[in-house]
Amino acid sequence: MSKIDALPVLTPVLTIAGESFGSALMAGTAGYPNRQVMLDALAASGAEIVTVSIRRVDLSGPRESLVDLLSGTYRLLPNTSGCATAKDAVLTAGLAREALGTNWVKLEIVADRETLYPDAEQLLKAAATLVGQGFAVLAYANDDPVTCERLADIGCAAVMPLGAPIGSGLGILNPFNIETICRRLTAPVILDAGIGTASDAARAMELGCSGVLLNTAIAKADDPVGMATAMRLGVAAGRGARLAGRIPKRLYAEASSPELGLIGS
Amino acid sequence: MDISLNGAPHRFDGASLIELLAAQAIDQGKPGVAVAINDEIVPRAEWATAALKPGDTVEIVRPHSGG
Repeated sequence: MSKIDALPVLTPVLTIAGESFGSALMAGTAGYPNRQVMLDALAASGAEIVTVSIRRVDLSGPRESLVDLLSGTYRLLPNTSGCATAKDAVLTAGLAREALGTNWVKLEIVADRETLYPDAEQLLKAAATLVGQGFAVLAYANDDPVTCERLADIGCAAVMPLGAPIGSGLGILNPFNIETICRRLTAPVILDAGIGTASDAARAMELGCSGVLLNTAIAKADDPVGMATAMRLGVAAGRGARLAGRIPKRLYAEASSPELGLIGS
Repeated sequence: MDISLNGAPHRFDGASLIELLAAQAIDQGKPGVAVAINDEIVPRAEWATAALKPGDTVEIVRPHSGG
């Protein structure tokens, strides 16, 4: 076993709604080349929480069940993807709770099909309703400290700002905002959307995020299982670096070798 | 009666939700399915007693892949 594989996992590393998890990486289940690759990639990622959507049963087709495939191993986090209004999202969350027996929900309400940016107004409305109905709301949000703070004040179990548009792989477009959000909120901050490669995930953790949620970066990589492993290591590296306390950034050099005992001095 | 089922018009010979679920081969003992009638969620405990009337909109949903 190489040295890097033997790195210890710091556990527990993530606490949401009173529950602790050994992984700060949450993974999505969409867009994999096939089901087996999805299962292998999720296993390689070390994720303990995976997201699912809620969709109509295909009444004319085969009745394969994602629940059968995943529920024994992973905590399933249903999302409200596809919803454009608070009303639809609240109904979808309720259906998800019925179907899965969980009060956890990833609240996703999208305003604009091109950017898939959250609709902040509907999001705040739906979050308040769902918190009132006893849901643990993990709110997918834009990277705006004001909206994120409002979501936390409403009582969301986690706030999940995007790094960049869903599936774009652009990484963290506004690291200053992400750092501000992490600094201001006591609720866990999970970077959700836009991660493209392992350094993006590490960066999110170094900025202070409690965790990351990613899907496309793994599912659409040339080697999803390889990328899932890299992401697992990236998240652990970023978290470790943050906990270790980095050196400050300086405008000028500071020699690392001592200045005493120089030959010729 | 004529109802809407998962977004499509559907002619149905029964009168109750439980008959509809059976006709659609929904395994009522298995978790992972949820039902709404006219945008109101019908909890599993009430499936046995929920009635349907003409024009009702029924949604039968389950978890699917998603990010």
